[in-house]
Amino acid sequence: MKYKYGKPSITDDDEQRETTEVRRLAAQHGDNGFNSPPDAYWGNTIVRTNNRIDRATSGKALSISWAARVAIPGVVAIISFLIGLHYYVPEPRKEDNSLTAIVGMLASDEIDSMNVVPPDVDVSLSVPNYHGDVFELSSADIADYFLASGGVSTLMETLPSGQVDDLLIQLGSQKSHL
Amino acid sequence: MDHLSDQELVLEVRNGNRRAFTELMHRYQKRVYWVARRIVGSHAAADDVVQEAFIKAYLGLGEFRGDASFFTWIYRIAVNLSLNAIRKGQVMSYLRQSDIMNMILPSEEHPGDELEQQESESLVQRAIATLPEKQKAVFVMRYYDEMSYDEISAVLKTSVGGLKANYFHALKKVQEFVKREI
Repeated sequence: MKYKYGKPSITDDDEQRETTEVRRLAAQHGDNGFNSPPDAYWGNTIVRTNNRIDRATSGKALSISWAARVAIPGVVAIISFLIGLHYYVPEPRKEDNSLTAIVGMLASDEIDSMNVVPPDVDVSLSVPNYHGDVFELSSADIADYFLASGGVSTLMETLPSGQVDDLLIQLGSQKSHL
Repeated sequence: MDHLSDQELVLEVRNGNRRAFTELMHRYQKRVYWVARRIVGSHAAADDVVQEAFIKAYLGLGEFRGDASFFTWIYRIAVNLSLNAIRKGQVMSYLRQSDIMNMILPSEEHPGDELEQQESESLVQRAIATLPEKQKAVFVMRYYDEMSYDEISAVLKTSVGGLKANYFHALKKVQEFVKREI
């Protein structure tokens, strides 16, 4: 089996040869590596490890661990959220939606075209089939309004003299009936 | 407990049998110790890695899926802890701690201290100390433990091709170091 390591490719035999060379050099130097710990060390390590496991799994250790990992960060997060919610003031929308602003956003030629040819407004929903001026009232409507509100003198100034005479006749006949 | 396989022991531990875990420690503590010792270079640091590795294994046994062997798993934990120890410079602090203990207590109460004194005498170990951490781990596993590349790959989660390159590079560096020192 070959693999590339720079140039040229290195074989398993190359690796084996280099490993043997390092071992030979180390032995030549009298290098036998580390001395093993005394036998007592191994038994002692197991006892110490078991003791540490006991401490790590005791109720107190677990409660401290749980508090450190879950409870404290959780409480801090909730408090931060509530404080944030308390002081949270929504920022006003930066976009101005007023009619002026919207018209201002239109291109100048579009504004010109609207001025020259105003868009048709469909009034059929609010004033069906009405083609006249809504502010142009008939004299009869005006008379009814002033009579109801008691403004008779104003009515006399508004109506033509012929209609005033008719009105006075009608009022006189109503009075005689009463 | 001797007759049980690793897998059976793991099941026993999950059922709350601490003796089963002690048996697992018996089986693998030496290999875990030696890989840690050769990576970190210090007996005291290796001792701590061994304990930490088994504690971590015990506490994390619920997450052990069993797709690798227990040995591969504990070995991987030990290698990672050893590399972390080097990164954090714990080895140096342990050496200082050991010096302090030497001053306070007679040497026979701390057999590990004698081991510390012998550490600097290992030429290959001094060469290993100069390697980058990945090469260090691969070299220890291949040169000392004579693990196959597939086994090393399972531990380090690295491709076999990369491991071979790492090992050969480390081998050349160690060889050059030893030749220079002789």
